[in-house]
Amino acid sequence: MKPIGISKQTLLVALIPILVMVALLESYIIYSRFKDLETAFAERSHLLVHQLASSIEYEVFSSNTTALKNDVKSTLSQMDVSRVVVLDATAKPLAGGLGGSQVRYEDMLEKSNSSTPSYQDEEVLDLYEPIKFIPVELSDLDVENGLKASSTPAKPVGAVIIEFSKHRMNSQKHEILLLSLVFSLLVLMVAMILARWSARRITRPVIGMNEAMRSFGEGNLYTRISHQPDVLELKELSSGFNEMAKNIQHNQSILETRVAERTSALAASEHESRTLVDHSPDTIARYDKDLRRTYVNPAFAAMTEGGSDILLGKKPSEFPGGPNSDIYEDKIKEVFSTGKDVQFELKWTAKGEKETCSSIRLTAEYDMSGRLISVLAVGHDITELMESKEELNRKELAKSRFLAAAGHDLRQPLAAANLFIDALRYAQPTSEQKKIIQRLDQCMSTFNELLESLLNISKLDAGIIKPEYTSFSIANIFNWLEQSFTPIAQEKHLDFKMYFPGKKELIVFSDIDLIKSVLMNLVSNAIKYTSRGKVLVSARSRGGDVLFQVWDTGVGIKEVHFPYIFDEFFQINNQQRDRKSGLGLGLAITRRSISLLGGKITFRSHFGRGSVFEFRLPLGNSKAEVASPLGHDAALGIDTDVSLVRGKHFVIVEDDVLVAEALRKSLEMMGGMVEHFNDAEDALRNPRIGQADFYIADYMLGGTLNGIKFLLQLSSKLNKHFNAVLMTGDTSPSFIHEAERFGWPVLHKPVNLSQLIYWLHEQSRK
Amino acid sequence: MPGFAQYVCNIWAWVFLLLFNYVNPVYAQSINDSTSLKVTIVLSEKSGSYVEFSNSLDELLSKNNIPHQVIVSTETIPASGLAIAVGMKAATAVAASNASSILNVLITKTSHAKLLHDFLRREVSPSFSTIYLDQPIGRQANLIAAILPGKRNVGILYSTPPKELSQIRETFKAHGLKIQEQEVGPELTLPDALQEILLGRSEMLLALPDGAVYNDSTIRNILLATYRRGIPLIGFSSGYVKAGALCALISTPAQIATQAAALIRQFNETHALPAPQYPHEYEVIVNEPVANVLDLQVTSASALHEKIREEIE
Repeated sequence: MKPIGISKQTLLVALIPILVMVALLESYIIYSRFKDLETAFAERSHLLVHQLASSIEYEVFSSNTTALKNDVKSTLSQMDVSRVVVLDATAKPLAGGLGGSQVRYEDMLEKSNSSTPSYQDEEVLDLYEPIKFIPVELSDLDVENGLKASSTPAKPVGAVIIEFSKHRMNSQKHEILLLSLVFSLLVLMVAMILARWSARRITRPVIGMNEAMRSFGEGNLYTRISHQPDVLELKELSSGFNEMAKNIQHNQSILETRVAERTSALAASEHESRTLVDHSPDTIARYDKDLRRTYVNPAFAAMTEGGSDILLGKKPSEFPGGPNSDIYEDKIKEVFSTGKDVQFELKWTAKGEKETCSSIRLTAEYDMSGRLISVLAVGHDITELMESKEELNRKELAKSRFLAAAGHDLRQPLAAANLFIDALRYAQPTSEQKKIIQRLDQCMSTFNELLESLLNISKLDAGIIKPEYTSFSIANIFNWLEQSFTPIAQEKHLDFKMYFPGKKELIVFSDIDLIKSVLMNLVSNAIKYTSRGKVLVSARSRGGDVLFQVWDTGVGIKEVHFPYIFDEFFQINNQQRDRKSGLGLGLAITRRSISLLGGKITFRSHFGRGSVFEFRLPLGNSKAEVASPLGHDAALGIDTDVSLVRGKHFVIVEDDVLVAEALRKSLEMMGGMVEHFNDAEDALRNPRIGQADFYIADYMLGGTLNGIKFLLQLSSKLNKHFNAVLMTGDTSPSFIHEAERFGWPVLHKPVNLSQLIYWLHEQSRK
Repeated sequence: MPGFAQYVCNIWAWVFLLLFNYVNPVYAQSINDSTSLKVTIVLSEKSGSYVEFSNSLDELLSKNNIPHQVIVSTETIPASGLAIAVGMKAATAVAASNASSILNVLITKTSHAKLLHDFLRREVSPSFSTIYLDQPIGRQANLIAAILPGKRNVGILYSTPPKELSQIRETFKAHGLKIQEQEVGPELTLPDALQEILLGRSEMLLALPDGAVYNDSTIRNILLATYRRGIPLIGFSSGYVKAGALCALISTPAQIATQAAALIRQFNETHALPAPQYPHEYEVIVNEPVANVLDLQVTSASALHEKIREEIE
């Protein structure tokens, strides 16, 4: 629907109801008035004609023409009467208006007569009334007396026709119509004027406001509506507008000021960042979606042959190119697709064929609407860093390798020395000599330990030690702990307890040996630093882990030393200490071991009251592999039954001269007979190889066959059971398992002679 | 009447009689009484003056213990007893019936003559008589003399000359009144005749029973005409006076009933009716406004009455 203006609307609102009302009223009034007029006219006419008819009854009776004429005349003088005619019984005129019977009466008689007494058209009304003698009321006596009553209704003795002109009435009607029309028009006019006036009162101010708004919209913020309208609501509107305009103008100026400030601040910061970028030693470049450089900073340009000209607009693969440029491009693409920053190292060729390594960080750049438009690459030259790092690595590796190798080399003489000491024991020493041997043994022991610690730590550092995870029962370890340390604890009158849930077997998923060594270290520390009270070792399940704790009521650790206790070679000096103080590597090794297993070792301590060291390991889920190589080491320091050696043939396959020699000597001292081979092939070639009672083979042999292979070959050659032990420096569980599969015990170097004998004997008993 | 209608009328007569049995104990009694004379009053209409008459008569007859019944002329008229025919219609019916003795009342001399003529009755009979309704001429003359002293010329209009015309002339002459006559007919219309009378010497107009001249249609105009001339009209019944005539001599139904009762008593004894007679009792009625307008010093009706009586006596 088209919008209608206020003027039109007001006009309609004013006019339509008035029109309707006027129309209704006027039509009603006109109708009613017309009706009244007509009714009055008709009534009057009828009355007049009736009156005439009745009043001239006597005149007609007495044929008094003069009187009739007078009557007619007087009737004619009445309003609206145009023609009168009095007829006799034969319808002949007796008298008529305007000169007796000269008036034309025939047409009148035609129009209205006895059969149609009333005739009417627009102009005239003709009424016909018969003249009758009005009868008198008679009583029956009158009748009896001979006063006759007319039986039939009396015949009319004449008639009267009066023609009435409607002219006056019609003119009256016209007058009414005209007047009402005039009146209506007048009213409508007034209404229209009012409407117009009313509309104007609104439209003018509104137009003014419109103008003001337009002007304001075009940017003339100082525009105000100056002319306050009369209409209340519009007045409010205009003052509201002015208020709003004022506020907007004010805000606008504030905004402009702020914008100016910001712009200058921005300009300043931009200048700053430009300076930074320009002077940055790092290479900065911007890549677009096509992986082309849209900006390079001076540093980058300086590093490239051809500078920024050759760099700009090129993809990395285009310039500088090189084998890693594809990787670079992929990285850029990655940022474009994920929007996430990427950091990586890249080798490339800089100016002057210089091989450079850069640490590059790629950052996504967004425009104002949040769309990713470019990637910023900031590259930091880490060539030297890389080199020194590599250098360091190489040195580390070298060192470790050296240590690993050295370890092996170091152990051999140590092993030999141990064996010799054992040999001495069996060489019937004097009591003095025994003492010396004892001291010697202790020294060797200590040295052994120290060496082991050192080697261990370096192996851990070198990453040589790789934990082998198995699920094993805690019970076993704890039993071993108990067995190992109870004597020493008892010596110090310490209460040494194990706590672990007995009802449900706790299985731990970890590396047995590392755990063993960790616990050993912690427990030995605990015992070492506790002079009275107790030491408690506990294992409980906590969540999905097993929490190991070693509690002691020892000297504790001063808070000031807390940060340092896991450091290498760190020992707390000012307390009672055992003679075997060690190198101070224990906790360092422990920490490394635990972290290698993915755990963390923590402690709490109160100086003078005690300490607790704890770590967590994941729960194992089955009893699957419960390794029990512990059994091998169980027997520490058992006195060897010499009789087991006397008269027995021993075969030793060992490539280390010293070790072999020591062993041979020991065994010979005990009355055994020893045959030594350097390598497995030699031994196998020997025809008498099958005749020995016991076989001792080193795992690591020269030649193609290792200890295990040798034993296997021997087994297939001899095709019978024989007693053998395997010696090795390799402590990996996989190796142990391999050996166990074949049923031979494995002894770790440095080998204890009594152990050796014990195991050989065990074999023979089967 | 057609047979069926007559049959119906008989039924109605019996119903009527039965009703009367319960309504009128006297009448019931009178029915049982079979020895005395039974009078049957036959009314032309059961309304107006007829009933007025019958009521008066009934009262009088009851006083005299004469059994009677009242019926309407349309019913069957018993043959025996005395029939009192009230009004021309009843008189005609009774005359036509087998009634043995008939006394007519409330009919004019002319009507009586007609009856005689129509029913071949002897003029004078003991079983047929009438009490005229109209007044004797002498009385009329006395009235005129009494009411309009000094005025002698009397105009009369007739379509056909009345039988008593000469008698009227004589009687009036004897009273010193002169008659002016005008005949109304095709040669002279009523208005013209009236004009003649009025333009003539007549000082009054005496109305005579003549239907062609004096009827309900013409009376007004006659009166108007005479009134306009200041000439009084002497009527012969109350209707005239009501319409505007100056005066009239009448006998009321009650007066006639008294006269009839006397005759009935007489008949009861003599079984004979006297000769027809004019009413003995009469009244003078005067239209006083008209009298005033006509500027006549008319004395009151009662005085006039006395005066007339004096004259008669």
